[in-house]
Amino acid sequence: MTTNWQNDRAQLSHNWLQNGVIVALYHAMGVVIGRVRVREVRKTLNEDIIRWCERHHEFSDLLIRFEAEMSPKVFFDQVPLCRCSDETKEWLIPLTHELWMRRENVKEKNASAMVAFQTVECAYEKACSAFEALPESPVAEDMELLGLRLRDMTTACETLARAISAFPHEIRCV
Amino acid sequence: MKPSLPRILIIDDLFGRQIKDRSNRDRANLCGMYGLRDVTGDEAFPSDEEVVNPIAEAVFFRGQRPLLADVGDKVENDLDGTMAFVRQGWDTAPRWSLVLLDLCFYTGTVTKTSDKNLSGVPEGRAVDDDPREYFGLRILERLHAEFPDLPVIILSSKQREEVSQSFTAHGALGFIPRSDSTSPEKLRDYLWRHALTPDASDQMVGNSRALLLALRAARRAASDSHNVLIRGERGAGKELLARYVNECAIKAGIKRPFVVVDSGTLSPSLYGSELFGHVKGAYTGADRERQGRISQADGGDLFLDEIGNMPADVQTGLLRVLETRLVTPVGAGSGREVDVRFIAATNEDIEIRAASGGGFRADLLDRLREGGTIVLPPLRERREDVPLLAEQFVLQAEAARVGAMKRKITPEAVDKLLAYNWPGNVRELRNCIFKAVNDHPDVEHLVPDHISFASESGMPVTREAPKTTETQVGASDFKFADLIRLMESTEVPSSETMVWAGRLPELQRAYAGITIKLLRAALLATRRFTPKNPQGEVKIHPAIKLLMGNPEISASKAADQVKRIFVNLPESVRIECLADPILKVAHDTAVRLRPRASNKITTNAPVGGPL
Repeated sequence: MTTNWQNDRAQLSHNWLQNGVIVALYHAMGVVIGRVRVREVRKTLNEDIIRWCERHHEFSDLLIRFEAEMSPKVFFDQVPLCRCSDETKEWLIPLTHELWMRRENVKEKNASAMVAFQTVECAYEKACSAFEALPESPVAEDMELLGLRLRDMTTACETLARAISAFPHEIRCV
Repeated sequence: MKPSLPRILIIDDLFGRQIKDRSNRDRANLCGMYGLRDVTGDEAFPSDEEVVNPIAEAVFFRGQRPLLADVGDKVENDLDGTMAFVRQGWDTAPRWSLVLLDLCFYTGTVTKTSDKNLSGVPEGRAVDDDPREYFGLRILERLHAEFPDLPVIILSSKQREEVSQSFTAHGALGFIPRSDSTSPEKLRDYLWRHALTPDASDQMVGNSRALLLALRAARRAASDSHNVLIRGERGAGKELLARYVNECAIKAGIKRPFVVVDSGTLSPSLYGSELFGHVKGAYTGADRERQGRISQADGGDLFLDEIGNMPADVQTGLLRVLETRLVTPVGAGSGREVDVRFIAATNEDIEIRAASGGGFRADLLDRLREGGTIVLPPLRERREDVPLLAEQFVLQAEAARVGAMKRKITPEAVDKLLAYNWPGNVRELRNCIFKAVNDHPDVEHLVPDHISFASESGMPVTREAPKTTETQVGASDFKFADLIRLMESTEVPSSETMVWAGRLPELQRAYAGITIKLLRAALLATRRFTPKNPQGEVKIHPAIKLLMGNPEISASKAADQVKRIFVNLPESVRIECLADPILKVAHDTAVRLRPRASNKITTNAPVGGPL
C-alpha cells in the first residue's frame, strides 16, 4: 500500500530537494570557484539559491502528516480491522498507535527532521545575505564568503534529506 | 590528433527528460556539478553557460516514453527503447566510455501538480519507489547480459545499502551518491579505473573496443605496484603498452624510471650481467663495475620483453630478486634492496610451457603476473584502428623523409589497408606506410598502388570491414518509396477516429519505426570511411540511392526524401530519432541541403527499383 505521504515524500525529498536544490547549490559553488562560466553571475547564483524557496514550506506539512498517515492505526479504517467493535477500537487504536510511535522513534525522527529543516532555513538566510553583499559584477575574491555559505547550506540540505529518508518506507505493523 | 573527451551515457528519468521550453535547468546544474559537457543535442543546455575543463561529454536519456511529457500524458518505463539507445552508442563511435544509471524512475500520469513541481514529471506509482522493483536494476540486468564489457556505475540519490547487493550482482562497478560533495571526485576516479577511454597521450593510437579494454586493464594494473604480464603477438605494441602502464603510475608528477630489457637480443652468457650488473673482476673482461638494469629501474618499472627467451639460470636469479627484493650483481657477495615493478611481455603461450616443464619456471610466472595479465589484441582484431594508425604513420614518415610532400590517404587505399590481415601487426603497418611514403615522396595522395604488403599470408579472401562503395541489392517486392508515400497519405476519416482511437498511434509508431530502421541501416551501410573519419562519415545521398534502388537520384532529391521521412514521423518518434547521432546527421544534412524545399508529396517523386 502506498500512501499519499510516501508519494509526496518522494516528490519533495528525492525529486526536488536532492535532485533539484542540492544539485543547484553544487552548481552555484561551481560558479563561485570558476568551474562553471556564466554570462550573468548574479542572476545564475540567485536562481540556484532561491530554489529552496520554491517548496520549503511543504516540509512542515509533510512532517505533521506523517503520524496521521503512516501509523498502522489507518488499518482500522480498512477490512478486516474496521469490523472490530467500537469498544475494541476505543482502546486498541490508541494502543497500536502508541506502540508504533515508540518502536519507530517517531518523535525523535520528527524532532531531528525539524531541526535539520530549521538549520537549512538559517543557512539559506546567511547565503542570501552573502549574496546580497555581492557587487554587480562579482569576481572570485568577492565570492569567497558566499562559497562558504553555500557549502554550509548544502551540508544542511543533505542532513535534511537524510532525516527525511529515515522515516519508514511502509506502514509497519506493531 | 587530440583524443576527444570520454563520452558518458546518463540514463535518468529526471535529468534525461525533455522539457517543453527546451531548458532542463536541473540537467545543466548536474553538468556544472560534475564537470560534464552536455552533448545530448536536444538544445537543453543554456547557451550562456559553459563548464570549464570538462572531464567528459554526457548524453542524457530518459529511459521512458515519452521523452517529452505534458499534463495528462502517461509516462512509462521503456526497457527496449533504452537498450536500443545504448546499442547504437556501443556499436558505432563515438562509443560510451561509461554508463551512469539511475535506480528509481517515476511513472504514471503527469498531473497539474506534478508538472508544476517538476515539468514533465509524473506523480509516481507505488512500485517505482520499492527498492526490489527499481527500474534501474532491470536496465542493469539487461545491460550486463547484452554488453558485459560496458562499464556501468549507479548514480542515485537513493540509499546505497538498500540495493548494494542487487547492483553488484548485476554487474555495476560502483555507486555514486548523486548529491554528495565527494561525488564529482568519485566520478573522476571511476572514469580512470573503469571507463573505456583512449590513451590521452596518443601513444597507443585507436578507439576500438579491444584496445580500450586493454588500456583499461593497463590503468588498473598501474594503480598498484604488482608485476604485470603483457601477452600479445609480435609487433602488436607490447612495449608501448608497458610504457603506458609506467606513465599511468606517475604520482605527484614524479616520473618513474622505465628500463627496457629485450630478452630476445641477449646472449645467455650476458643475460645475468645485463640484468643484475657485475662487480669489477667478476669475469674475464669485467674491468669495471657495472650497474644492472634492475638497479637502473629502482623506483620504477623494468620491462622484460620476450620473457620466454630467458635462460634457466637467469630465471632462478630473477625469481630470487622477486622474492627478496634484493639484487646481487654477478661476483658480489651481498645484494642491495630495490623497489622495482616488473612488466614482462611475451608472444608465446608461456603458461603451457610453465605447466609442462617446458623451460619456463611456473613459480617465476606466478610472480610475474601477480598483478594480472593484460592481453593486447592483434591488429586484425581491432581493424577499425587501421585508418587512424595509418594517418599517424603517414605524418611520421613525411616528417622523417626530408622533402616529402604532405599527402592524404585515399578511401581506396584505406580499403586496401583494412582488407589485409596484418600478421606483423602495428609494426608491419608502420613499415608498410613508411615504405609507401619513402618510395613515393613527391605525391599528394597515398593510393592503393603505393601499398605493398610484406607477407602474402596476410592477404585475405574476405574482409569484415564495410566497403566505401555502394552495395548492390538483390531483388525484392518491397519498394521503399511506397513505404514513404503510404506513411504520408494515411489518414483516418473523422467518423472512424473513435474506432481507431488508441490503436492508430501504435500502428503509426510501428510503421515509422520500420521506415526509420531502414533508413538507418542504409546510412550505416553506405558510410564513407576515411582516415579522418575511421568510424565512417554518414552520407544521405548514397543511402537514399540504395533505399530507392535508383542510382540516378540527385543529391537534392535524396535530401527531399530524407526530409519527407522525418516530416511524417509521429512527434515522439521524431524526438527519439533525433537523439540518434546517425539519424540526426542525416536529418541535419537534409535540412541544410534543402532548407526551403517543400516537404509535401511530389507526384513525380523518384521511385526506383526494388530494395
